Amino acid sequence: MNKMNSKDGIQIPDKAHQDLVKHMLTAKETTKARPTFLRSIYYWAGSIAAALVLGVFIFNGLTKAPNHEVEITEDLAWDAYQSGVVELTLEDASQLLDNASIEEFINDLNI
Amino acid sequence: MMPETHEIAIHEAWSAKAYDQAFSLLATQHASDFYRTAVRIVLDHAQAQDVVQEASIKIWKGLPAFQGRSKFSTWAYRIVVNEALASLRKSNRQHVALEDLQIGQPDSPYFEADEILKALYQALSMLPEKQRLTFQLRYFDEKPYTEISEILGTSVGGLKANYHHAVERIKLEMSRLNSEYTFESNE
Repeated sequence: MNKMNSKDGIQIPDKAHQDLVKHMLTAKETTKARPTFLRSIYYWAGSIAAALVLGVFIFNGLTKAPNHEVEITEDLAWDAYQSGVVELTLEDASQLLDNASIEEFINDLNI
Repeated sequence: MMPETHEIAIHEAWSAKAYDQAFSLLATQHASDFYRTAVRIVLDHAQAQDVVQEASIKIWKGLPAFQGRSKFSTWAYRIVVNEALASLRKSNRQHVALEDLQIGQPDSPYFEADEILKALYQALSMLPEKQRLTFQLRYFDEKPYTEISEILGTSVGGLKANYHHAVERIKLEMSRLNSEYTFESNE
């Protein structure tokens, strides 16, 4: 019967560990503070870009009608009918159903 | 320096707003652990290095806002795990065909395993993500359930259940690979 050790098989030598540490420390270099002058330009450029994007959204909101698409499920249709929102006469219903469905409906009523 | 001593040193540096020093201490103590955790998830050396790099940036940026509700290492581990999972999903490596299952082992220059350990990795690759992560942190890293709970955001009870199921599944999968293979858990 073979036994196992508990190690994950990943053995990192000292040199590799030092390289990994250096690799991690470069993260500080990617987030260095920018000089004040450049920072102010980025601030204004960012503000203008944000204002343009906001303007686009507002413009689209004003010019487009909302497009509400609702999937008509059986449950939704039944709820609408029961609440009285949808008024359906027997004639209307018979137009919507095929013959097989009508027969089934009638048979159910006779149980 | 003992891990607890390191944690204290990091906390002292952080409290003094010496974030540079705090981050350096964290990297010095845990860089290999972060890589190890990343490569066990993404199974690729270069990708694991990228994960550690991305996680390092988030850790560095997040240090000033750290809430202190957990150990620094636990908080950092959580970032590494999340980054590794995000990287894995992006690369779709989890959708590995059955015949490529040997890919279930880390493709790393530091990985050296006997046939049994390779079989364990193959069995691991069959587990759902949460079970696999729980197993790795508990069995390989021997982390307490309370710490794993903070890393994965799962209750201790849930983790114990995950671990139990993981072990049972691993035993089954390994015996399928070779009837002579056995697996013994820590608990």
